Amino acid sequence: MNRPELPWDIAVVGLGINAVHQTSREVEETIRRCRQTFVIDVSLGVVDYLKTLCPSVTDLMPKYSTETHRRLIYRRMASEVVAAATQNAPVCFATYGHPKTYCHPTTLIQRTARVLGLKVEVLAGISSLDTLLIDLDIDPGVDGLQVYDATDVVVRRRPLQTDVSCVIMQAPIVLEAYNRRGAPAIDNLRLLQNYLAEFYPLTHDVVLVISKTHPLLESIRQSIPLGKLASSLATRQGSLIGTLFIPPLKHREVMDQKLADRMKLPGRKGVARPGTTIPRRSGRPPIGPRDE
Amino acid sequence: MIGVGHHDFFNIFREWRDFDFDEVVRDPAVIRVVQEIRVAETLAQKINAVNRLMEKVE
Repeated sequence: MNRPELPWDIAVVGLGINAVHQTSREVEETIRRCRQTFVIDVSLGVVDYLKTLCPSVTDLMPKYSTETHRRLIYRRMASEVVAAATQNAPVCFATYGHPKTYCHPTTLIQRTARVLGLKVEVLAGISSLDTLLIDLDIDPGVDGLQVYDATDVVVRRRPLQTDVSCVIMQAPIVLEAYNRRGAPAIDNLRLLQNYLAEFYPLTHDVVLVISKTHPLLESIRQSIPLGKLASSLATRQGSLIGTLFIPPLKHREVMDQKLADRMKLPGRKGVARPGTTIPRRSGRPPIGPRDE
Repeated sequence: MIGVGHHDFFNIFREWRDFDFDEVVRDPAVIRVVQEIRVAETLAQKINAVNRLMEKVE
């Protein structure tokens, strides 16, 4: 079947977290229309699946060489994509998760392409933040949500709001500029723990979350007292992945009761307009909103 | 390392100002490397030249 040419030179797409099961139809269709796809995703079966969509698939994971500064790794990845686009567009850069959620190669591709006069389109994917909300059954509408990178939060001494849910990304590799194997560095983890302890008590439980990357796996949720965070993460031999969720210490109080009352259901005590009641049909049980 | 993400540590290494396209494309070093990309004869040469351009836009 002939498919219309893409109006872009480079498509940057997110594949989601849970192998191919979270890859959108929009993303699939885009990959089908590209001449070459570059992929970063170690989830089981993803590369093989992409090979059924695109005639040429290049796995960029080998670019993650050890003992190399991460910025150099991302440049190498992005360079291959942009170079290919200059001679065989359209090409696709497909990354696990979301391409604009903690994904530096996307920015490099966008900036370089602009200088070279190449058109780039970025398509969303399901991020680890999305899956974390599911894994922990959290709706950020309740307490709000603050999201920081672990290194950034320590280096900038970001102020944390303890009545707002907090997500710390990349905690196991805090302050680690190089791509290394083995256990996380305990000294760096202690710096993170100590900084968080300026806001939260050491007895406060934080949750390490590793979302499943295949439907047959279970997501990992490990509750850790803040006082044992560094030692706990350091003993996770070889596991450099994971996101921290810090529950709020308390819910924030309503500061303007008058405005809050405007949001209540009609008919609630002190809210209903004079003379109004919730209409009920005769003989029906008194379900629904009622006076307190 | 597998699965550790691919971010830039959220700008802590970022020397760049907010990306100023007009400023970048006026930089003689950028102009030179763009020309290198255009005339590169092999894909490997092209990748290397693009890599150098990445340094300029970061």
